[in-house]
Amino acid sequence: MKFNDIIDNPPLWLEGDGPFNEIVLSSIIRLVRNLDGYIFPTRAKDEQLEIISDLVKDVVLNSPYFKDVFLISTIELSKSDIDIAKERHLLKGSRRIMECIVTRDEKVSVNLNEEDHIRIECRASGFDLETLYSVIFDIDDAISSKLVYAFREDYGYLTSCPTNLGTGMRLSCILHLPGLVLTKKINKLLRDISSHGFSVKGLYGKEGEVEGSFFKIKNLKTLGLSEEDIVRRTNSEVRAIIDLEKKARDKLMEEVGKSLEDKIWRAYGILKNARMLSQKEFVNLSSAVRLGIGLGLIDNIDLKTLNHLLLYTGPAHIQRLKGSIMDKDTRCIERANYVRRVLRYR
Amino acid sequence: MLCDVCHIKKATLNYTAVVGETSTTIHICEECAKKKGILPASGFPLSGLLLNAQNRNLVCKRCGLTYQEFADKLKFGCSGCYKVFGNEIKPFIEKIQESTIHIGRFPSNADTKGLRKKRRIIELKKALKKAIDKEAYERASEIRDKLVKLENEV
Ligand SMILES: [Zn+2]
Repeated sequence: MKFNDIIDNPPLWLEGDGPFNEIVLSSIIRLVRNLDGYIFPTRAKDEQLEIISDLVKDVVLNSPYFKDVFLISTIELSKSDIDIAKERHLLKGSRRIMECIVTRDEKVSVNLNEEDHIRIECRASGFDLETLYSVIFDIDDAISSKLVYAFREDYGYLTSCPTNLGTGMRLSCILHLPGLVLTKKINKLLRDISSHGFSVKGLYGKEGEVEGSFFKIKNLKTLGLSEEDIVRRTNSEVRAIIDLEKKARDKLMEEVGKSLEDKIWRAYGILKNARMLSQKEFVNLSSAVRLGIGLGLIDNIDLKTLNHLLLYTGPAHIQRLKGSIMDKDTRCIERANYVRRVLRYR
Repeated sequence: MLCDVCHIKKATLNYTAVVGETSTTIHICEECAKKKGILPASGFPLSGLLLNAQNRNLVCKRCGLTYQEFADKLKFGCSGCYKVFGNEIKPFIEKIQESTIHIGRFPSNADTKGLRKKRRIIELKKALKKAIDKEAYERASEIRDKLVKLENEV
């Protein structure tokens, strides 16, 4: 498989299906692990990184979950391909030597030598943490049956950052909450969520801004709770948010239904006709259209198409369309062209 | 301004945790911030809380990380760091995690005999408390016997 085979096919976790898909884009579980007796990547020498990589690859590539995989290596990829991998959440950070073993559908990946030796990640479309939970521990068990993890009775799995100690487990969901944003309930909700031991951040937009009402929620505590507990707590927290969002959407329909419908169709109209689109504008317009789909007001386009557009209109992906580095205006033109092309066939 | 969490104490920390379409700042008292494991964003002198005259010169021999470097970046260099900086970091870990005891899974090949026993003791202690609360004294004394036996083994 080539890197292009990965990029050309949208990841399966952006299919737009799964439980509560009108509110939850995707669910993600991540486990952080380190090998016993080896210095963590941030302080290790290149030769040590190579040994760690060989050890883990030997185990992972022989496990049944990794039959059809691609190996991403920052040493071998061009700068623009690394940016694409980052936009697809396959690489993180700016360390010089990092690798990622990823399955063709991008539902499972194992990252090597980021901040920690091993980071296992599983992703699903919609709200489905439980399925991911069983898959990720199958992989974890396969690795730990062959390699010895750094572990202590008191602190659990030892990690480079103390915020990952214990279970090393992070659950997250990408949520679309326009109802709560438009009814101005979001700020109080965000405060409540934070006080329950979760972090919520805008998915798009610079620090301190939220574009398109997309949020990422994740558990903060990893130590002192069992994995089952973390799953249970996260599930019930996200369920509660889903219920609030549904109520907020009902309220909007009741009170300002017609003007909401108008707003949604106008957004669709702009997407279909614009000649220049910034990423920020695309995220916000597509958010309105997404709400329209959730409310049953618009069926000219489905969630899957919107999800794919969200990924493929990112700066690195747009740049790839022309295969050359573009300035911002050119990207805006290419982005609008691309969106029009996709929507024309809907 | 009162603390957003307990609504009782005066808020002394501002935490710009999350933002809606307008930016959101959480006002929180020190005690709640500690309880919730919320670390104020940049500008909070965490390293100042961690460092003192005794620990300033600690070094992890295996990876070369100094305690000063840890306090600045809050990242460990290897599993050995946890041993070398052990006593100094415990309160810090408790602050951010609200716990210093792992109760989750353990690696399939870890030497876990002792761990299993310790977990069993924690479970039995909980059961004992429950039995006493329910005034099921016979059950309680059974549990107590098991506990004594296990604790002697450890
Ligand atoms: Zn060390």
